This record gives sequence, structure tokens and C-alpha cells, in this order.
Amino acid sequence: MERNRSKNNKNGLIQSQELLYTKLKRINQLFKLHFSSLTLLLSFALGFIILWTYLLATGHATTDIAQRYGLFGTIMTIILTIILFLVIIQIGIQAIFYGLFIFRGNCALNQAKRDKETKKLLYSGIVPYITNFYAFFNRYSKENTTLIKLVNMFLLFNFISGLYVIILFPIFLDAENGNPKINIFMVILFLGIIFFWIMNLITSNKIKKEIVKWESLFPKLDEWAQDLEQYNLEDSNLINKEEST
Amino acid sequence: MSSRRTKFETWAEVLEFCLRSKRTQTWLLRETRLKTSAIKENLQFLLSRNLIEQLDDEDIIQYQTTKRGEEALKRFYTLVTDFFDLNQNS
Repeated sequence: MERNRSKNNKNGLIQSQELLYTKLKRINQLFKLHFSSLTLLLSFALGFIILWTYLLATGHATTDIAQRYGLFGTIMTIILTIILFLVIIQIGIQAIFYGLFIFRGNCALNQAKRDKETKKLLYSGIVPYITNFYAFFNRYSKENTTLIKLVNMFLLFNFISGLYVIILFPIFLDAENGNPKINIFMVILFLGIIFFWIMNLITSNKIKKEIVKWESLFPKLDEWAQDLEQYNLEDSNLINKEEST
Repeated sequence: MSSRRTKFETWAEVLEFCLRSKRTQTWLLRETRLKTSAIKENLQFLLSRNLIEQLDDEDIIQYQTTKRGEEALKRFYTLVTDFFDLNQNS
């Protein structure tokens, strides 16, 4: 009977672990999707800017504004290109920011062993995943800034950056480069950028909602710790006696 | 970073780490990235509440989560799961 009770307890624990693991896996999937959209956006944007800079530097492309306004137009083209470079650097920073979190989160979620008795997977990285999230949350939660503010800032920045690329693209496409193949390639890169930009905005928004949820979860976990503090030794001795009889 | 860790982070981590296998203080020190004094203090607390037990295995002191510790950890998991279930549509 004792053995059965122990097995039931173990099953209950495994079941609650499995439920939580499924939820954390889903949340982690969202972060991974966001990270993928960021890295793909970064790759397409890098391809785009490298091609564009090459065309400009080798004199294969001249923008309409450069033709129309001469030196002023050329300077404007250079400024617009530099801004695009800065936008890409910022996307890279975001990719590193989320990448670090995902790397540690993945390491935690992959810690699992099969139980000999129940033949079920036992996870030992659930709490580390939560504490990783908490550390990530706390690192950016200062007096004047919070993680939500940072994610909002990224969201706004990505939105403006995407609009900037959309506005800028006709200028790039109108540039005389005399090679239709390059133009087609640039259109493909542009469409890729737009696709991953939209995907990125959607996942950013979902992440924002997720972080709001986690923010209200942490005080509850503190309450759990307070409950443990209220446990006393006498109770624990009683439980020991109950278990041994 | 270690000094800023909250109680729930450390306690839940130690309970989960010691759930499957017996763990030494050194192992826990490495995994939790706490200071020696902090891990000692936390282990002492968990021992005092009978959430973990101390086992002397061939002169090596190891720790393992007790039934009571398992229950506390189960409550921790359920708390998080229920929270997400309740806030699923928000």
C-alpha cells in the first residue's frame, strides 16, 4: 500500500511536470519563432544592403535623387544607406538579446531522463527555465525601464524600420543599374524582408503579452516561498511519522 | 547575480535538482551558481522544513528531496500551470 501511495505521488508529480513542460515548451516555441524571424530578417536585410552598397560603390547604380540633385542627392543616398545600416545593426542587437535567452532556456528544457518505474520522461529543467525567465525579466526591470518597455521599444523600432525600408525601396528600385536580373533579385530580397518583418511584428506582440503574464506570475511564486517559510518542524515530524506507519 | 536570487528561485531549483538523484553540496553549488554561504543557508532551511533529507553515503554527504518536498514542488508546478490556464485568453 505504501509503495502504491508513493507511486501515485510520483505519478502526480510527473503529470504536473508534464503539463507545465508542455506550456513552457509552447512559450519557448514562440520565442524561437521570434528569434527565427529576426535572424531571417537580418539575413535578408544584410543581403539587400550588401548588394545595394556594392552597386553604389562600383557605380553600377545611381539613384533618381542623385541624378536630379547632383552632389546633394548623392549625399542623401549615402545618408539613407547609413540609416539602413544602423537599422540592420539594431536588428542584430535584438537577435543577440533574444538568442541569449533562448540558448539558456533551451538548455534547461532539454534536461530530461526516462524514469525506470513509470517509463515516463522526468524533467529537471523546469524550474531553471522559470528562473532563467525571472533573471531575464529582472535584468531589464530597473526603476526607469522594464522588460515590457524594452520589448515595446523593439516593437516600435521594428515597425518604423519596416516602414523606412518600404518607403526607401522605390528609390533603390528606380536606381539605374541597367541589369534587370539584379532588380529581380532585389525585389525578392525586399519581399523576404517584408514577409519576415510582418512575422516579426506578430511574434513581438505575442511576446509582449506573454511578458505581461509572467510579470504577474512572479509575485505568486514569492507567495509559494512564503508558504514554505511558514512550514514548521513539528508538522514535518508528524508527516514523517504518518509516512513510516 | 547570485546575491539577487530570490527564495523561490533557489528553493524550487534545489528541490527539483534533488528530486531524481542524490546531490552533493558541491554539485548544487555549481548548478545554482550561489555562494557557499548562501547554498548552506538554503540547504539548512530546506532541511529544517523536512523538504530535503541529508544522506551519508560512504562519507559523502548528499541531499535528496523528501515526500514533503515533492508535494511542495508539485504545488509550485500546479501554481504556474493554473496561472497560465487562467490567463490563456487574456
